[in-house]
Amino acid sequence: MNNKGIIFALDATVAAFLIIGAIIFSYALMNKESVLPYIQVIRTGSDVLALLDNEGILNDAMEDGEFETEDISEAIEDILPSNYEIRLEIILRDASLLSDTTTAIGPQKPTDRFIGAGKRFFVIKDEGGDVITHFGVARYWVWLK
Amino acid sequence: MQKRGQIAIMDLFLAVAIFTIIIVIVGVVWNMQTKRFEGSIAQSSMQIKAFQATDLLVKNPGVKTEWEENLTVLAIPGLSTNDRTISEAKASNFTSLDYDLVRQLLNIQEYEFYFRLLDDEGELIISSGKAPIATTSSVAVRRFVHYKDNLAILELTLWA
Repeated sequence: MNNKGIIFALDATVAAFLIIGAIIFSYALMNKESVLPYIQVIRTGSDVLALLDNEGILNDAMEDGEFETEDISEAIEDILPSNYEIRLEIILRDASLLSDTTTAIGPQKPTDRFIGAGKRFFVIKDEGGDVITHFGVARYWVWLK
Repeated sequence: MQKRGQIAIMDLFLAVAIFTIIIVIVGVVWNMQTKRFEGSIAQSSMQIKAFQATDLLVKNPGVKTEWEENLTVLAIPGLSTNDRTISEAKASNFTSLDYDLVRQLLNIQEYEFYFRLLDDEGELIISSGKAPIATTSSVAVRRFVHYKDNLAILELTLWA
């Protein structure tokens, strides 16, 4: 009788493990979230930066040695769909490569949702468009409101 | 002894019933998950193709570069003169291309497509392809571009 009891207890333990394993596996499968919809968010950020760069808005923000962010903010407002938010951090290094300045534009990043991120390298030229005065890296974080 | 035998049979019935219920539940969940997984794979594949196709259109001038002047030399479609800047001539010629040829060149033969260029107010500028039917599965990818010096939206919808 003693032996029989142990076998039943082992059976029950194995069965319980199997069922719990199956439930956890099913739950994990059902709750697996696809990451692909987030590519749209990342692509939107990338498009915004490309447009800012290609339209010369990043270049024109440099006025008399000062990097003005007002035009960039206005352009972002025009380009970015209303259900998105973006934060930029623009690091500029002058052509001598001796000094950096960092400028941030946009709201703080949230902590409770997906944030797409990327960076774009660009250059700022003088008014004649012949001489590079600054090298820039624009990092962006974009998310849905 | 007889009583003991009945209890054993009741145990057996109970065990068989529980086992059957578990097997049925596992079967149903397995079936649901398989269908869901297949649907998700198909949707993901469609989404990836849509992103690849829009990347091709908004970032490249196409091959050959001046294909809009002679449509017979078109090997890879691209609509931009500069990154995310859409050429009016390329866009216009793209919409006049044969529907099946575009599917082949964009490597989206297994799907139908609907291409639209919208202004920043969402008004249609040009379109080509077949608009999706409401009951089908579809993926729409929107890219922000410049067209004729204005902000515009290039939208590609794939559907099956």
